[in-house]
Amino acid sequence: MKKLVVLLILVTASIFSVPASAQNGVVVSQTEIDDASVPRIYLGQSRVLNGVNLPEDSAVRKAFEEKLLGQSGEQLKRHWAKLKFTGRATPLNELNGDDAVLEYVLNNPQGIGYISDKSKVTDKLNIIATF
Amino acid sequence: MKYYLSACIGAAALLTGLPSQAQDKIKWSGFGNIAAGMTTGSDDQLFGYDNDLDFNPETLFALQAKANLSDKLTVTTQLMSRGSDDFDLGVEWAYLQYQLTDSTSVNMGKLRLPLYIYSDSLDVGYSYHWLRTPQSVYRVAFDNYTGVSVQHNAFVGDFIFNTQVIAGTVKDDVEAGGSELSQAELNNLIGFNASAIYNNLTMRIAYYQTNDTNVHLQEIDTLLTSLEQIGAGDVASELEASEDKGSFAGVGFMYDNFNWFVGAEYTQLEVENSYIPKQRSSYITAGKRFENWSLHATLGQTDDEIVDAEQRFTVPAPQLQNIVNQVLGGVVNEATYSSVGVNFNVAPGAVFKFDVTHSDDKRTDASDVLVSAAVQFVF
Repeated sequence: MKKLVVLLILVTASIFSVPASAQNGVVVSQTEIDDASVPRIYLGQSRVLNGVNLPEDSAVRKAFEEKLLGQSGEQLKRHWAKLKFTGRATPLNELNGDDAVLEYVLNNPQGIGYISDKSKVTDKLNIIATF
Repeated sequence: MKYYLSACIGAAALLTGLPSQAQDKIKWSGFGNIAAGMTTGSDDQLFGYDNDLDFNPETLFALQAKANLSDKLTVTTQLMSRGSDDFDLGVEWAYLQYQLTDSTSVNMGKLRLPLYIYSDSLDVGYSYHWLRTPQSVYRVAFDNYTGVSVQHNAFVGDFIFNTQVIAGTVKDDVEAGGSELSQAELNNLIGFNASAIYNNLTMRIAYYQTNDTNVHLQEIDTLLTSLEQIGAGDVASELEASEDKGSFAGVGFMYDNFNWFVGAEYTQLEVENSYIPKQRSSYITAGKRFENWSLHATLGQTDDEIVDAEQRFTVPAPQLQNIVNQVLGGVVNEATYSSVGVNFNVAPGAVFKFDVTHSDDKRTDASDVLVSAAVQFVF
């Protein structure tokens, strides 16, 4: 019984911790730009900065896409299929996690990315948007 | 076909012949459409289907290779195998793209002629909600041209303006009028399309013209000779589509808030002094998305007219007049289409679509129903 209670608490905690950590999401870049540029870059309409993505199955990417782009993964996949096969835009590179994204934006002044944890942002980077 | 094969080999050689550091940068991707359909009535025919279940008319596979030659220069080829061409491999697109600035790019090579909203991704069924684009509007017999295109993106307030200017030539075997393939050749083709995107709303206009349209119909060669023999050379020259001026104009919009969507397109095509009628085409479509599936309906109409028929096509010999009338009757399209479709997302990047389309030909009073299903995917 005790084990069951512990398990329940763990399960509940993990369910609630997902949205809690998602609210910590930030879009970061060395370059200061308007937050309206974020959807343009991630929808392939603007090349002012080079955006990087997290993997398709990442919960952070899902939260970023739903909150800042206002679209589901499936809708974006359709959108990018159209751009990719008509030469209008090249799909953004995918990196495997927060640390890789931070390393990328720290090394690329023209780079922009999003991470799950606001506290990892150093003062070399600007927070462009939160989600 | 030989031309296509050598083009394929050339394209493949071009890609594999790149220096090794560039070869590492080749990105492969692809898409496909496995479609089957049949009409419900034993005599019904629609979009290449008849009363026997057939997979060939719309099934296709495509592989795209894109290589970065430099930061700004890329080469892309799309190889496609279509059931309607016995799955022969052909080069659908092959072009160089140069990124002039952040917002302007130039494409050169074999490109898609952007007549309609969904022309660019016509073969990528996954990118739109229909099983097939509405055939009332998407009916120009050629899809590609060879030449250049300049694309520009601009942001003005909350609007995004996307403009594309093209110039080039079309040379293709098309199905026009009768059963035999005809050679279509359009020279000095120029035009533009412009889209304004405001939040969920996209509005688009397009205009193209050429002063040298040639669509040779072999079936009417003897008719033309006979007309000339009886002194009706002017009728013969009106009938022929040779070095004639052609124009195409289109307007359309699409509103999609990801919950539901509605859109429409209207196009008008004219080839002066030819058997080709003035073609007016339209459709309206709407649909609703649910968690993992969506439902949509589309109404379409074609409304063709031979302008000044009596003045241009009156022949002093009744027998020949009959034949002329038959030719003209065969190219005029006055039909309505209605379709309903349902889509299921079966995997990331794959969708199953089911569609029922009903067509009504006003001239022949024929009514056909086509049932089709497809799996469309990208990778």
